[in-house]
Parts: sequence; C-alpha cells; structure tokens
Amino acid sequence: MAYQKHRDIISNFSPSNIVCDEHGSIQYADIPEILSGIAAHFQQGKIFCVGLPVQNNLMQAMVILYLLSEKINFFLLSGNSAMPPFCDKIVTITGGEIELSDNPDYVAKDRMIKAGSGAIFFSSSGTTGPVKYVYFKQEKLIQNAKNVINRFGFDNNSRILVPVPLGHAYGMGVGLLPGLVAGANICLIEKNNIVKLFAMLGGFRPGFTLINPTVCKMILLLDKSISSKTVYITAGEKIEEHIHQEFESKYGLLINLFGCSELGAIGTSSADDAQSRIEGILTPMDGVEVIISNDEIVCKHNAGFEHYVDKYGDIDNAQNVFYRTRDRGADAGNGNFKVMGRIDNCVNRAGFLISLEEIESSLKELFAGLKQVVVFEASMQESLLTRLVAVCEIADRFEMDKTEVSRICKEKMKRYYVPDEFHFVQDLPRLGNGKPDRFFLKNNYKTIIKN
Amino acid sequence: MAALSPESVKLRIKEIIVNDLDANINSTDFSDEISLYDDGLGLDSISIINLIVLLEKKFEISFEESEISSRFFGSINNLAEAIYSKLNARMESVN
Repeated sequence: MAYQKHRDIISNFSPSNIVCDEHGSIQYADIPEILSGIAAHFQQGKIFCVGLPVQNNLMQAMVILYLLSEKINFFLLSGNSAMPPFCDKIVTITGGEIELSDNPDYVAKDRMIKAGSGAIFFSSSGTTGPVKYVYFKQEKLIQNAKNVINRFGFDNNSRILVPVPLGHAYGMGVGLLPGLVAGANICLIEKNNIVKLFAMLGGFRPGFTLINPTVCKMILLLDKSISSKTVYITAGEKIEEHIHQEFESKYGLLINLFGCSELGAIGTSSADDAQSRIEGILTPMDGVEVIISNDEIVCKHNAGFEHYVDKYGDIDNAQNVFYRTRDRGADAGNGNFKVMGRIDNCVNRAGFLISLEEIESSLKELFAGLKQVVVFEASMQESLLTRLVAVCEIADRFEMDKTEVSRICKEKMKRYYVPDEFHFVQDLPRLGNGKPDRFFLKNNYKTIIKN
Repeated sequence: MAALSPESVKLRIKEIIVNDLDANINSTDFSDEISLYDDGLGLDSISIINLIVLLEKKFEISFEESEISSRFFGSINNLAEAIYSKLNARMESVN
C-alpha cells in the first residue's frame, strides 16, 4: 500500500505540483513512492533523534517530510557546528543517496523529550557563546507554517523559491514547511549565489522568493532587469529606507519579515501599503502579540518553541510566556511595531548573528600590538553593501600592514567575523569615562583615519 | 578596446579574479574547466557580483539577464567564450 502518513502534513495538493532543485524535480503524486524508499533506511529500531547536516536539495526536503510524517525527532545542523550528542543517528545525502549512520558522539541517557514525539531542533542563530538548541513541538512548527500561509496567501497554486538555507527557521519555517503544508510548488537552491538565483527566477518563475538584505543589495548592485515577477520576502537585518524604495521601484513588492529561531515568523510588513513597508512597519502574525518593553521587542507567540535544550537534550532554560527577542523596537500604533536594531551590539551578517565585541576581542588576542579595537558596520554608498570596519589603536611597536592583518584574520577567524576594512590610529576618540566613543567613531571614522 | 584573442580574454579574466576580487585565489588554484563557485573555485556570492561588475567594466560589455547563468559563469572557458563572442559582435557592428 502506498505511503500515506505524509497526508497529515500535506493535506491539499495538486498531484502535478512539484518540489524541485537545480538537478531535478518530484511531482506530489510521486511523493508516496519516494517516502517508501526513504522508510527503508529507517528500519533499525527506535531512534531518539536524527541529525541532518542541512543541504538545500530535493532529497533533503523529502527526508524532512518523512521524519515529520513519522514524528521522528530531528535536528537541523547548519554551518560548521558539531553534531550534538543528543543525536543518535546522522543522515547524510550524497548524490541523492541516503545513508543513516550512528553518531559517534551520542550520549544515551534518560531525557524528558521522548523518542517518536516529533520534536524538531534548530541551532539558535546567535554565534556568540556556546550553541543553544531550540526545541519545537511538531504541532507548533506546523502552526507557525500556517501563520505564514495565512499571511502570504500560499495555496496549491503558489510557486515558492527557497534559496535560503533549510537549516534555519527562515528557510524551513517560512519556505519549505509552509510550501509543503499548502501543497505549493517549491524550488530549492543549494548554496545560493546570484547566478543560480537568476537562473531559477527565469526558469522556475516563482510567485514568492525568499531573500535577505544582502541578496537584496546584490540584486540592486548588479542592476539588471528581471523579467520574472515575484513577491520578494526578506528577513534578517533592517533594510535602509532608500534601498527598500529603490528595490521596489525596480523589482516590485519587497515584504519584510521579522522572526527568530525561537519563535519562527513574528511579523511582516504590509503587502498593501508601500509607505509603511518602506518605513519598516510590521504587523504581528495572527495569534502573535508584540509589546515594546524598555525599548525591547517582547513577544507572546501562539506557535513558538518550548524551551532550549543543552547538547545532551536536557532542558537548558525554561521558557516564559513572553519571549525577549533582544531586538530594539518601537510601537508603530494599531498593534504594529518597528525593529530598530539589536540591544546587544550584535549585527546580522548573512543570517549569522555576530557580536561586534567578540570580533574586537578576537583581534586583540590575535595581534599583541593592538591596544584597543572598535568594530562597527558602515554603509558604503558605492557598493550598497554594509562593511565591517575595524579601527585599531596601535602600540608604537606595531608594524603590520592592513593586507597582512587581513590575511591572518582570514586564516584564523570565522569568515563572517573578518572585518572588511582595517584602519590603524594612534589614539581613538574617547568618552569622558575613557571608553572609545563608538558613535562618534562610526560617524566620523573617514575623517579620523585621514588625520 | 583593441581586438583580443580568446586566450587573452581568458588570461584577463583570470587576472581579474586573482588581482581584483580579494577572494584569496592564486593563479595556480584553478583550471579553465572548473566551476567558478561551489566545489570549484568557491567564489562566494559577493565575489561573483563583484566579478560580474568588474568584467562588464573592464571589457566594456553588458551581460543580459539571461546571460547571468551557469551557461556563461559555469567555468572560465564558458565565460571567456561568451565575452569573446560579445567583443566580436561589437567589433562587427562597429565595422
């Protein structure tokens, strides 16, 4: 008998709709056969949690669908993090072939979360400190997907392009899962770049395309016409008003989505009001309440995570009803809000939340001759891309030049930590308390470094 | 721009990648057939954008939307052939 359990997830689809990537496609009508084939790999007895090094491809999407259908707990591993010891199995997919292997670092123990409970784990997007694991119950993640479906009007006529990684709440929670639940046509791009994006915009002709502010700015920088008309959804750091306006004038609707790994989608800008979109005014998803408390965005969500777990899968941090996002916000009236930035001196670099202070510490550890370092984001009008700028107060004996410093950083530091510019000065501007005047430096560094 | 041979187009493309992209790539790193991105040269998104902009500027050409594709950008050979064709087409229209 054909596999049917996925019908709990995908209830309404057109059999000829497809899920595809750059290399191939599957019609929804053929999904039962695919899932039966995947099932053959999972007959080894009870599994606590499957670790999935995430790839944005068709077979990965089918494996995720299978795990959801069978309520097998799974963890989406993104980036270069290690597989946590609460995963007893690891799925690797090579050339469309699936292999299920044991995690050599698995630690067997009694846990509150039980095998077969449909738990889904993400890494939190923050890159500072130890990794935090976010635990969702399946029904909440599905509800999160339904919030997205309701907001954007996804249905089984929709065509959704997902170039963003499935290992984050954005790609999974706003792209793949809502697409599957709605029975939509879905196209995945692995390791997105502008060449692949243009190819799929022209070939797949999506109605919705998930991007981020970096991709938005890259499209503007390239300054090409795009014949395929799509609604762009962007998530991540705030886009400057003039960039938003320029993008919409050239390429059409750009909807800003605000969310986090812990809560999924929290709010979006309006599809109907261009001015409020450009101003960054966001409306909470249905069933989501947002308040601004001491300038911080605090959220009560109908479909958020249960709690964090540690690397052994035990409860790490009990969750309050209201979740503090660590994002600064402002009330925009009528239940709407705006995101103003981060509270904790972090910046979002292509999906990674990076602490500027951690970069500063790393630079001081790497180079003994740096007395003080200030790192900030600067907008570069000529390139539209924000750049990380490091202005370093140097000791007299410091003799390295910028090229050498940059080279060493690229060898020793994570890619998104490495500043794009280095400047060396004898004295940094200081506040009355002796700390570097970051605000003044960020706004005047070009003059300071000339002098 | 004076007429260029296919080989000199290829050489100029490589010079741009090595010297102008700030992508930590040496001239010995790549063959003419490997992909410019993914498991080939591994150029990231920003490097690819910068490459397209630089190629257009240095060769005084413009890529159409449909030409931003793996057919053109899949390898140095493909890219050189495409740019050489564009340069030739321009020379012919001038003449």
